[in-house]
Amino acid sequence: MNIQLLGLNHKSAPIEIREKVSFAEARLDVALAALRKYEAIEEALILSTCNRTEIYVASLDCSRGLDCLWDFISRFVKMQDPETRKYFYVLNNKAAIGHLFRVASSLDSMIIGETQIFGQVKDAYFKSRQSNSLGRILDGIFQEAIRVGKKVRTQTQIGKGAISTSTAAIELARKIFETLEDKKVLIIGAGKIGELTVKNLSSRGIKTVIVANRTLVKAQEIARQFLGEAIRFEDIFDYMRSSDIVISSTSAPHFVITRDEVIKIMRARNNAPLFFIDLGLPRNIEPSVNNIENAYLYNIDDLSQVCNVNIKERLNEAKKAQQIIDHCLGGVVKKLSLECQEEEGILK
Amino acid sequence: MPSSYQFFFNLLVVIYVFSAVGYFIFFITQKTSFGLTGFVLALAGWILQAGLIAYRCLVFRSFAVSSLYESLNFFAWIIILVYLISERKRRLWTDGVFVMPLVVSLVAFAAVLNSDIRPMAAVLKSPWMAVHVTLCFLSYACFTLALVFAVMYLWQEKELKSRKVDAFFFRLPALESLDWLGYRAIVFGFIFLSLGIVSGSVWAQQAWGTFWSWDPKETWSLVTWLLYLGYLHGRLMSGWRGKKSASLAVIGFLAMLFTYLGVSFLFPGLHSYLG
Repeated sequence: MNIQLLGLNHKSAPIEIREKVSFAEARLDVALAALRKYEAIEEALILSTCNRTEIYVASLDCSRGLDCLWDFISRFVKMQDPETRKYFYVLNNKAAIGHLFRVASSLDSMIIGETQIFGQVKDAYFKSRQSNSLGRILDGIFQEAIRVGKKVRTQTQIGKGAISTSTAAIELARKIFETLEDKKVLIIGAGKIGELTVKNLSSRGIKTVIVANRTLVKAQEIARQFLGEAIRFEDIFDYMRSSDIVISSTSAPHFVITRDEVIKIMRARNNAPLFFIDLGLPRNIEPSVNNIENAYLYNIDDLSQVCNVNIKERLNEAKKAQQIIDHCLGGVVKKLSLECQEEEGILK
Repeated sequence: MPSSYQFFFNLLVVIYVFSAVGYFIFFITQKTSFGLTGFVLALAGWILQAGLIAYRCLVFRSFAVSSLYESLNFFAWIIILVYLISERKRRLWTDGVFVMPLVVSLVAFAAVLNSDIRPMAAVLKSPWMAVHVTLCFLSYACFTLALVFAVMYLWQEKELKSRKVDAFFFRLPALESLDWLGYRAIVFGFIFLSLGIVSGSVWAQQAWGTFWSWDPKETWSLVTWLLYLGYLHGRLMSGWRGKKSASLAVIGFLAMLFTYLGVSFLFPGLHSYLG
């Protein structure tokens, strides 16, 4: 028995190809049934996400199995052009299992360490089991893949550390403030990224949101979303006295918040820490604000620098994850080759 | 000292070293099991050390702080006591990473000293001694913990300000909590030190007939007390926080360390452990 994989992902194929080859959930049953009809294919599973489509099968013969897979693709996906084959990768046995383990551990993802793929692998497994497309071999391998994915997540730090600017802002905020629950955020300018950051902050427990904008109507629009309060642009410095986080994303051509203003504000708030996030371009906050005690200023570049550090950390963790995978892979391959030998013995 | 005592003392040093190592591994790997190991070892060592101190008290029939050896031991023990109390609810293990190396250096210092008992002048034997010494060491321990929080604060603050966040950044508690914990430790330390100085005066009045004799230890403890008074005043009256507070906590600790050890070595006086 052979384990074979035919697939494509964000690295091998552009989105125009990926969207053609993806399987909507409603079509999975039909597709799996079609796969099972091939004589050479004993078991089948389809993993289809927005970044990848992978077809795993257990086949009696490698070359016949692959022919069936190509046939399936050309019939199901309406891609007759043999040129398109270059976007796919074909992996057999140990290489296929190793790839699956990497996928389940999120090492093969566009964003290393993201959590979604683990759930998608699980879903694909259950879907395929429901439609009776799994036999002993693929079932065992996918169960093992799910175990490996879990192990990598708990034994490495692969999912830790913010890697987008808005989550980086939250992570930094939590290094200044112990909890965000009782904190107040002031957002200046009704820009998209500012709104997104507030969205993230409020999902982490921030309760009070104050929105200031040159046109009050827009401020009210955003304030309504977060059950917050809209204020006039002129009043931002009054509100800064009682805020803890200030996010600025106006398109003003000059600094909206200056060092002198912040010095006054810090005095008025008894030096309670104040975290400024400058998302404006050109910058909204005078850079020397960062030199004032208990005031912390990060702009977009600073935030993405934090992300870069985290990405590097994740790549380090990926090495540890690979070790875990290699270890488990060795065990699985050993077990499988024993089982296959027995089976062949029975067949003979 | 009997060899069995020496054996248990050596065992104690080993336990504390392993506890510090456990905490260190926790700090690097962030695996809570190592933090827990460090904590359990610290607790075990603390119990063993309590036994050793009690043993000395019983054998020599006096409160065991008559020599530098004994005072270092007692200091280490009381630091862990205060640490255990402060960690009780937080369970973050991060403080231990900084506390345990201090404890290890105290007991290691003690290990190279003569552990024999020193007879104490009869005039000094008084229940006030235990009260005075315990209060002073409680204050020292609180100030030591405040130092740990201050160091973590300054480190984290520097990282945040420089915006060059490195891997260790994510391993320290939030600035706000470090600031608050440091403040609280100093409040307690200040209360204990005040009571320690007062109880010392009462004892001095009984033993020597005078409340205050400007002995170097007394002078320096007054300096330390004034520094922490300045810290509290700045904090409550002028809104000093964060970096300013943390820097003062470091200076206060250095003054305290000088009061504790420096004075004994440099100016032999009434309080000297060496004389």
